[in-house]
Amino acid sequence: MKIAGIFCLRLASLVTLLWLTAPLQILATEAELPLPVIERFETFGKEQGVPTNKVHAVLKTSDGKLWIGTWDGLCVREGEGKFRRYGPEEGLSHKLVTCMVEDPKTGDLWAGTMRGLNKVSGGKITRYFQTDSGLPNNVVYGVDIVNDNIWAATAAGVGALDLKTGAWKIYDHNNSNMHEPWCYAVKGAKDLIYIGVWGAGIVEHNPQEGTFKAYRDPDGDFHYDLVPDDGPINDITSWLAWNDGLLWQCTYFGMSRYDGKYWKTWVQDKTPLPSNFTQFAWPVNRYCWIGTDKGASVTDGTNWVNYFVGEAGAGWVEIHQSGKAMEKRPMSTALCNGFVLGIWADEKEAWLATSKGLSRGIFASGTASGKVAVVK
Amino acid sequence: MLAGCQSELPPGSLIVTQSTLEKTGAAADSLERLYPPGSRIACIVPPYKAGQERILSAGLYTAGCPILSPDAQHVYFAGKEKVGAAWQIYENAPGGGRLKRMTAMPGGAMYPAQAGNGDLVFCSPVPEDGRTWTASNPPALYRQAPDGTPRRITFGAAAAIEPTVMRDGTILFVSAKPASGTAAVPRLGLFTVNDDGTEVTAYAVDNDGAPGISRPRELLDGRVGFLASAEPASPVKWGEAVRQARPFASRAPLFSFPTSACRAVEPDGQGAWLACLRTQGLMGRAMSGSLAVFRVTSDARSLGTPLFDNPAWNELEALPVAPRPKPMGHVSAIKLALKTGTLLCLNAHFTRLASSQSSGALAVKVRVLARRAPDKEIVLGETALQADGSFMAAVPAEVPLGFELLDGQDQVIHRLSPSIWLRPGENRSCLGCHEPYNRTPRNARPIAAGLPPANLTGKMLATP
Amino acid sequence: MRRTPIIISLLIGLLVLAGLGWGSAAWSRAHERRWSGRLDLELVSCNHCHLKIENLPWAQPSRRHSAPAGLAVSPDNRKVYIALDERNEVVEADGVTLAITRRLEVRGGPFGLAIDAKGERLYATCRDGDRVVAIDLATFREVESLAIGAGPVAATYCDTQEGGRLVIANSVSDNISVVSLSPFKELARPQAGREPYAVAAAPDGSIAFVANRLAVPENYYSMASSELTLVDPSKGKLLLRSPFESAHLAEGIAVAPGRGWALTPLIKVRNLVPITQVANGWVMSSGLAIADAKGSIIQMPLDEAHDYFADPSGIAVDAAGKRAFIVSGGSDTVTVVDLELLARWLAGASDQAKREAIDDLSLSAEYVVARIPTGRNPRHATLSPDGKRLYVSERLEDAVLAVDTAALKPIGRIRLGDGGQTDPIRRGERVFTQAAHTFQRQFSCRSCHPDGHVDGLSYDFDGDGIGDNLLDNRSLQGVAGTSPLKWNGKNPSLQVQCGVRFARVLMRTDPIPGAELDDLAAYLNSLPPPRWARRHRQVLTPAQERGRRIFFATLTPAGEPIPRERQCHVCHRPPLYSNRLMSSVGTRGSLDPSDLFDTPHLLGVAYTAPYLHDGRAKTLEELWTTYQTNDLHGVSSYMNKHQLNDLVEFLKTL
Repeated sequence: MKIAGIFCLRLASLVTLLWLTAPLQILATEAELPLPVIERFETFGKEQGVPTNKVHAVLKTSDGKLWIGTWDGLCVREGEGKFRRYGPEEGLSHKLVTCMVEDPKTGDLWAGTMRGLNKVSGGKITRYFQTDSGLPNNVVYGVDIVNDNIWAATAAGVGALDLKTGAWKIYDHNNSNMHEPWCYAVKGAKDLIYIGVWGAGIVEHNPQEGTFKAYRDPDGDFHYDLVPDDGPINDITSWLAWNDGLLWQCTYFGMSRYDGKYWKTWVQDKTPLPSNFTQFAWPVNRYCWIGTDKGASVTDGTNWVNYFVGEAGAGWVEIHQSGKAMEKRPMSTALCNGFVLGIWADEKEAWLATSKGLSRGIFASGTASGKVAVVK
Repeated sequence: MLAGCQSELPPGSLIVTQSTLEKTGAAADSLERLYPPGSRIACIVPPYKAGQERILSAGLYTAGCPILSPDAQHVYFAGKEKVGAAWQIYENAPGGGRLKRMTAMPGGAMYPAQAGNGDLVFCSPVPEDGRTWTASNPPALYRQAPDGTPRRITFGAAAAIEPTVMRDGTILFVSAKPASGTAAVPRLGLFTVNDDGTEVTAYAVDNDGAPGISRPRELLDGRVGFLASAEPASPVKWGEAVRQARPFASRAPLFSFPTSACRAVEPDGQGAWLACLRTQGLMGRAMSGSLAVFRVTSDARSLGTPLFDNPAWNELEALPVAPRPKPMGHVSAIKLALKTGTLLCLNAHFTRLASSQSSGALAVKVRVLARRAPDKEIVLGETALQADGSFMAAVPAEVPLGFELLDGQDQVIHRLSPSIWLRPGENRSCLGCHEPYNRTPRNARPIAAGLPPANLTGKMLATP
Repeated sequence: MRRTPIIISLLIGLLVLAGLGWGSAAWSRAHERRWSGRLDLELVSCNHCHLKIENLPWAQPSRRHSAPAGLAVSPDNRKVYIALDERNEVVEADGVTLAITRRLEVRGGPFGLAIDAKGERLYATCRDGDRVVAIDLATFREVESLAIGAGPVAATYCDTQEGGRLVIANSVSDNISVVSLSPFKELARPQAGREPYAVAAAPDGSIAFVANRLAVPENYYSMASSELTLVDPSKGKLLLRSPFESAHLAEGIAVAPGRGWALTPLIKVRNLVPITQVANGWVMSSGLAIADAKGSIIQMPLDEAHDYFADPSGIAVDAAGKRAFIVSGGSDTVTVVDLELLARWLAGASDQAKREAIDDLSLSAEYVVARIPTGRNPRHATLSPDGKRLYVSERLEDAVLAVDTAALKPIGRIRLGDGGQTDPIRRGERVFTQAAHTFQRQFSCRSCHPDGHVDGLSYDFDGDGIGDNLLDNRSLQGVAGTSPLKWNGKNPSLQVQCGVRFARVLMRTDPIPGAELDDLAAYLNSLPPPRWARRHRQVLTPAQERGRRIFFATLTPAGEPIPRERQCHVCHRPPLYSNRLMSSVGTRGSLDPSDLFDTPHLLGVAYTAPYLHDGRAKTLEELWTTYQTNDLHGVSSYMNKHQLNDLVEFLKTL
């Protein structure tokens, strides 16, 4: 009995020790990973003032405010408080917000909606429609700001509003090498503009020279990437992101990255990419957060950390580290939904907009890195 | 000739009204009560020696209430040619000249004033003694063009008397607010109207002091002075004033020293006033006991010696013979060929009345009344209030109009007895019913302005 | 017998003349019909179409006066600096002797001035030159220049933790330039409201307050509000926008130290209320907006129940935050507000009372403690740092008035020019800016036409019935040669427009006397279209050139002929871009009595929003999208978005 008692005590002590040191072990594992790892998720919904489950976009602005674009309005969370909603009643052009960007100089927030573009500036909303401005079309999928120009990707081309002169320019299939006018994304890359065109790959525009260059899927196959890393993985561009010299392309048939010279492609079955259906990318330094229909990822192109949520709501993380076996771990709290529509992240936290709520990813302490080498 | 007479007048010359010291009994009419037989208009010049007056009303049985034209070339006053005659308005040069009768009003004319364009303004008829506020045919204001045709410009239910034209061109006058119940004492107040009779508006005095109000004058120091008395008919009056900046919240005594009686206050054009006060009982000066002319500065702490005092006469009024800025004119937009005007109320729910004066029910429509004769009101019709409380109606012109706000059960919530009027073709607006004074409208498009006006003219125009 | 041949000759002559007349008339009608495409025209004067811009009054050289604009005082109280925009000069005057001591030519119309904390540099914003210049005060020379937004009219210096900053209001490009002083460069250019016009900084440099002069056009039945814009001077980020509810013409702003207030004089406008009267501030009144750093605004009246102090613009507040001095350009007055009394009233007032305060004309007696008369058209004001002297630029007096702030009495003038009273244009500007012609001095022509331009609002005049004919305010810049005037084309000349009719409908007083009316017309005719000198003969961009071709198109891109009467350039015929005829363009509203409206000229059209006779179109694009009916306002149904944008870009060049 005594031995049994001692054994039990030792076993209990060992379990306790293991339990106590588990985070340290994880930390030890992930310290080698050049990517941030989310330890747990916080979920935000109607109780916190989010008017609807469908959150399409999320953005934390330089003043620390968190903005979300939802199916039912634009919301802002100041500090740790509840979300305050701006809808059409407050002057928003339409309740369904698709995308957002902050003007780094002025702090103005630009928000695209399914009917018009909005500037949220100092608490006031100014609307731009195709009928009262040079905006090419009311359906705005993407916005970005480049050199005092606001670029809007719309269902009828991209429009650029020169914020200093008030003049609009439109680029579509009529005056560029765009295959068709339906644009899903626009992203500034220093002096270049990348336009994500639905069914026409990526168009690179040099505003100074007025030139256009198209990047198309070399194999031209919609469903299979026959030759990896030969160019954009697919012509159905659903989103573009650019940071620190790297262009990231989301498509519904895989993911691509372009460094100005070389392309890198990923598909779900051959790489750790959780799903070919990728719809949002948010680069931080030289790694990138990816939103798919089956969860979220963060990758530097070599290492991957993927977050999933099961039907019962349980969450788990899969870590694909170069040269190591994939590690799968359950999470104490899960991403609120696997259909990830928007992401904002920095080196301290990540916010994920999903079709069933908003999640905040709390990083495991000691993780996160921006010093990732590009693997070509 | 007249100008020549005026040019002879030295600076500081005054026009004065003088009446005899004899005590008078019954007066033939209300104006004779103020200016008994023998009263006269005179010109006096510095150093204002008694007995050296130049009489401007020579030949008249009595005279009073003089005014000077802005260019100081003409004196207008009321006068009676003989006993039993009607008062009419006369004109003479300030230095004396040929007396000219300006009016021929049945029932008489009194209280002259001069509009910005030079037209003569006066009151008519002259009521019986003691019947100013109870006359069945109360005096109204008239405006007479140079061709001699008088046109009535006020149409209220109560008398409109003692007009004076202010610098902004409006005519300030004394009238009574609509009677509430069976009040014996009329609620006098100061009102303004444009010189074409449009935009009649309460100007000052609303149950904020002694009820007697008379002889208002713009003092040119940002105030309007008037005489106050315990009762409208009381001969014992004192000076009061309101600030033009906030006339309904600034009524105060004009003098900072006691006076035993005051008959007139006029600005002297140099920052002081010419006041006609009784000298009896005042210490340190000749005690004629009569009314005399004093020059009073606005900061005076005591009454000095009289500027002019003819012991044989009462000096009732005094005004300086000096040019003053011509009042602003007014281009009339009324259309005399029409018989109606249009009234727009922005929000009938907007009122200055305390909630205790209101039933608390929400009005849903307005009933418009017209006064056809004393004690005879007719209902012109009713119109619904719009969601913002606005209504617009075409109403008959030149009759006193009243209003009743009605709730859903046709109960009267607020009532304004017939008192205001519209001129033909006048577009008249109000903020609300018994709206707060000196308020600007809120900037909102009244719903009623987008709809045709309710036609509430039929009964009045069809009924003889 | 001898008479017969003479008679026959005369008859033949008459017949010939009649024939010539008939022929001329027939030819003229055919000519009109050919070029206008309209069969409804009677004979119209040739000059409806055939005139030359260079013959118009505003194209002629005019006298430039020493009209003072912005003011600044040196930190030691000894020097006063004055911007003379018309003469392209900045002058320095002695604060004691009031004599001019130095002059400096500064090109581009120096208008706003700001001085750094040490008094080493003076900065002048050049309204026409779209730049800000730095003037070294030791040498009184221009040492640096920086291109900024368009139409900079005011600047303030801010001492921030990250260095000295200028915050500049760019009145034409509707934005704010935030400029670092070392190096001298623009950090950011955030968008403001419409016509940012005045700037003031919090004492700690943490916030700059920018007052915007005009309301941004919205629905023409909605309340127009201009804007107070708050900016972070250190980085140029936009912090907050707050509406001056139902108010505009905010041309001055000052911070009240110790109170956390930014004070803005403004005009409280009531354009949505039918103008059945002007008494009781029915059309507009003057107010003082009190804003805090959180953007909450209380508006207080500056007028009195029966006397008004029109067109308040410049404001100065003493360093103790005790008194504010507000100049009224329309009434030639400085209003002195006791801020302690004002604070006391606010402390005792309910929220409702504060909200409704601006509507109570009798309230100003609570805190207005003096009204100081000035010379003609005071516009800017500044205090010496020690608070002893108030300087007021009397713009049409060519002088700066110095006021002893203890006695509240003028003590002298810095004489800059002769006042220009021999110049009819200058006299006319005086008529234009003075409120004395309006009932109780309520407003001037300038109250609705700042600098002769638009206020962007629509009004409901009651001359034709209450509620009918809502009318968009039209610019008077470039008005010469564009008669008939008014949207209904009823006024053949400016004299008629501004004479008896105006007195009856709006001023409600005596008409402006004939001689003054002629001066007024001379002034209005001297006003060029907005920024004409900068835009005139500029080279078109490709988009503008494409737009120009659309404007002058006679065929659609598909080769279909465009009916002549619906070609843009036929009705909007150069050089005025108007044939000055009434046209029906399918814009008649339910309250309009006619389909026909005057064809407006298009010179400076980009600056005159909103558009159409009742101001229903917020932007040029809306003319051919929301408010186009059956291609009646030019054939536009063939246009794609590129073509519409190109057309708009071309119109912006006119």
